Amino acid sequence: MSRAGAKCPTGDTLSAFVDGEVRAPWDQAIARHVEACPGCREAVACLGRLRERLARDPAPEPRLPPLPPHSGRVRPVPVWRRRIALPLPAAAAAALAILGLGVALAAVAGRPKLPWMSIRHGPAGTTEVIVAAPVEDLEQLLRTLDQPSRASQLVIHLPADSQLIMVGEPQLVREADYSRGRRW
Amino acid sequence: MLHADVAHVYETLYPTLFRVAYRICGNRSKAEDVCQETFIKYFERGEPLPDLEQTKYWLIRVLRNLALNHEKKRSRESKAYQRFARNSRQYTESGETEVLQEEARSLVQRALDRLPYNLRSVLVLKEYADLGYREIARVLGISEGNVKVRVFRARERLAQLLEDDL
Repeated sequence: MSRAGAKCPTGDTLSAFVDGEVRAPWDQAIARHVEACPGCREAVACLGRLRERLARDPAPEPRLPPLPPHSGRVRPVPVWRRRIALPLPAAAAAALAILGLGVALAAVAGRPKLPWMSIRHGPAGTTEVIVAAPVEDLEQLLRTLDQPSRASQLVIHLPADSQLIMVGEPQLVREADYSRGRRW
Repeated sequence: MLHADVAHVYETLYPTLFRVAYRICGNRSKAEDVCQETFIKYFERGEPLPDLEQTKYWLIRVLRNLALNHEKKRSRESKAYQRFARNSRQYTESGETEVLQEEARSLVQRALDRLPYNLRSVLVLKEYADLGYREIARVLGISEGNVKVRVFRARERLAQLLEDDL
């Protein structure tokens, strides 16, 4: 399939010409050139012989297997098995959103569970605790307040309807002892 | 998709797919396996394709990917077999079968098998699936220009391999 002419079409163009894949008017121009150029004529003839050889090469006859019975009606693919094509930026954004949500949930879960309560640290080293409902877990409240801070004064506002009862040794005094190791 | 549609697609396109699979795989049993897998994928597909032409392109695309997997597997097996053959002089049944299959293959098929996969698949689609360059480009996801070049290179190599037979 070698040709010498400088103005000859390239090999892939001649191959496309043999396949009828060159569009008008170029196909006519190539046909005229092939008529006139012995090298291209031989190349086209060689390509033709090759195509013919491939076409008449014996191949086994296909044995059509019976159609599988379940193929009569195609079951729809369940949603969870369907593939979703997602552009890369969208996939990255979704992954980031999931990560952010996870971090936020972890932060919320890690916080001390003190409902109905707000703790405010004042500028003069005071800490104000406002309790809006009866405290069920006094131990946890005191542990939270015991965490290191610069507060020198601690004010706890209990709800007006709080009812404190004395059971055995006064519990408030004992918890105050526990807090910061300071005796009141 | 009704049974009649599926049966029509199956009976109409199976011979073409088998021809393509055989020329790519070079072996009847592998070609049949690839065709079966391709049609199973088609049956599992929920939505029907608009027409027979689109179905043909879809099936050929799937078949070509499956054939590529078989090709990789065959290459791995062949390397492993060669390693084994070097280390041992024992003849195994599969080795004998392979020799018989090799002898049964035609000269053209043996020449096709020696082409790199990306050239062979394009030429097979051109010669045995009756696809034009545009359709091949769509099926393989490459440009028409690329198809033109690959077809030519495949023919060039094939002509060298079959020099005495042309």
